[in-house]
Amino acid sequence: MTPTSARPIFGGAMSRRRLLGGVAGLGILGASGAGLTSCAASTADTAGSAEQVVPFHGSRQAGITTDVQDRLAFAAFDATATRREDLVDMLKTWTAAAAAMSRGVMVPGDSHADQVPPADTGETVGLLPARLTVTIGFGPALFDGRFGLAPRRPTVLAELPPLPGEILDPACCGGDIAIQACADDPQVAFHAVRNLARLGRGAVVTRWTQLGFGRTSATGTGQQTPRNLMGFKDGTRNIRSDDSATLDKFVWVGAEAGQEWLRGGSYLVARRIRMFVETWDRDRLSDQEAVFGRAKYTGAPLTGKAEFDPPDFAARTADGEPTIQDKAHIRLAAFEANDGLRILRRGYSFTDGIDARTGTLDAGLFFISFQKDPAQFIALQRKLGQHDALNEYIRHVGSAVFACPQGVADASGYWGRSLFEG
Amino acid sequence: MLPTVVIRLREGAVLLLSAAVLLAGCGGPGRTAQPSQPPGAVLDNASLAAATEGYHDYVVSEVGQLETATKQLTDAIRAGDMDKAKQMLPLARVHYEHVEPVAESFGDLDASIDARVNNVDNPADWTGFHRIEKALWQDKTLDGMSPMADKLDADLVTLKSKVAGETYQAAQLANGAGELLNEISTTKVTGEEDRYSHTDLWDLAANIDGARKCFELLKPAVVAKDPDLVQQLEARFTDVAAGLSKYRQDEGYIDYSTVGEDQRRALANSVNALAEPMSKVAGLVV
Repeated sequence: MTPTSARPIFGGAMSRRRLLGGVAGLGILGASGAGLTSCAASTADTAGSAEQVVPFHGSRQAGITTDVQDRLAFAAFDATATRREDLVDMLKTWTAAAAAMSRGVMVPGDSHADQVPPADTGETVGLLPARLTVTIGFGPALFDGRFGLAPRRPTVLAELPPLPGEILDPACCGGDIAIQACADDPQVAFHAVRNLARLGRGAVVTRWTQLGFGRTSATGTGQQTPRNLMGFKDGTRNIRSDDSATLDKFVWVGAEAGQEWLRGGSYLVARRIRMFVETWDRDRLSDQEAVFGRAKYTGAPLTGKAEFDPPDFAARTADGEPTIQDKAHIRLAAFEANDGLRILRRGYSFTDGIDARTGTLDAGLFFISFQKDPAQFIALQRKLGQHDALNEYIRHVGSAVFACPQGVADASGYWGRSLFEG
Repeated sequence: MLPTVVIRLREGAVLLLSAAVLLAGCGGPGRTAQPSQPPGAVLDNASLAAATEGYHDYVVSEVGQLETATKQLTDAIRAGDMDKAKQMLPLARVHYEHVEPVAESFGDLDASIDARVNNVDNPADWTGFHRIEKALWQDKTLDGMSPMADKLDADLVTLKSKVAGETYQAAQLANGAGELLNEISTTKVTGEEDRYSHTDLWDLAANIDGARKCFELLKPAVVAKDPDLVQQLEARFTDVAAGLSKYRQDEGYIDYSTVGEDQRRALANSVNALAEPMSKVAGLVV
């Protein structure tokens, strides 16, 4: 199909596609004809935009149950503002910019005056909205004494405790505020983080960032399960966006939050998981499959034939050994083995050059999960970090947790309003 | 189904002004374009003239002080007085750093006065402050430096004559301030400028002072158009000054090699926070 753009809003909210398409109309048809073309096209755009535009406004933030996009740009920020109102002003500016970028229009402000830097950095002009979602989270550190937020800190919002399987690098841990930008175009995702960092200058500084080049999980019912860098389908049994009962039970914060402002939100856990891909690539196929508990190419559990066959954890081989071994990744991670516990996974593969110490690829999984309580992740990692056969090939090197508030209902709201004003 | 035609952005920018008029009749969402100049705020030409004249006087004064202080440096070199030369080098260079964007505008003169070794084609042709810096702190000998001292004196005479007749536009002041800040945050904060003497903080503070001077001169004109921006800039200049003051020692600053990575990043962050609003000033004075 022919890609279509977002609504043609001019000025502070100029459609990036319209910038090109609309001008072409002017050139070909002349002024009066182009006027009609623009009006007619705007209707068509709105209809077609559903494929390209994920609505920013809503009761929940986009980018959590949204069908996982192909690319990620993630950034953690430290607040440098000293006054609460400066932080709130920045969040309002960020919200307006994120809403505009999600529609595929330029960052609000003047991008055409000769004597000032353009308001939008410009690298997405002519690109599609690419299903951009921009999701915000607030880290435990934001709730210290600086902004008067200490009384509003949910009891479960704390830095993660030391967990097995990790050797953390402080350079990719923590942060006061997180931005998760996901899109089907890497430049669209990067553009969102870059522009928010720019708009936030003076109120926040970037603490660390992570690009993800390929999704490793699916949240949409129609979405294929992608493969991780080990070549396996990961996240086959992820929570799907249409399973609202499971989402309410495990992902969305409800009345138990203890903090009304977070109701309707979720907790984001980010873990930078380094994979030792070179050693993995030297492991024989049968062992790779035993480590995961799945067949590499079909994704089927070792007890089944097709990817979505439920694993049979009781099954035994002819010689009496468990078909899916005790230390297999899918056995240890399965909700059946964890009192029914589930999390929504939304991670991405990354590679950042080589590890200067070893000459091996610095590559792996930037794991992101959403849950209604970080304790869900902690429980799973305590188990996996100790027993998972995969641990021979992976190490957790980065870690952060953020409370993601409810969505911004409409243009009058802003990210975190319920926290700062509620 | 829109035609996809790739055209250059600049052309698009011009044509879109017409598109705005056309789209306004479509009953679409409201326009939220923010004009770069609020309507009704008229350029205060008298203030701007005072600013540019004031800047001319400032540059002339700084280059005069540069010449005087450098003479003490070059005299010490010719006399073989290493200690005196080391003492004078940062003191002289701050005057250059105050007005660096202007000094850089005269062709090869800046390269002759202030090039770093990685900016010259042939190290044998390398002259100026940093060549002398290397002799003083790394080679620890003044052998062969007298001709360098003479050349530096001669270059500064040329610089002085050039700035005497120079005039400025208000936007140049604003952009010059921005250049000073950008230079700090990209190349000064790394410590590559004064790699032998580690007197980087002197330069860094001098760049800030030079930027602040531009801002103070433009302030009366800018405050009439955007008082919030002026307030924000003042607050951020104060933040940067507070950050720098931690490193003061005697009449100057501590050795930059003792400033850790995290501390350097904090300095860069505060300068970047200042440079962002500074980049909006030029649009208000044209």
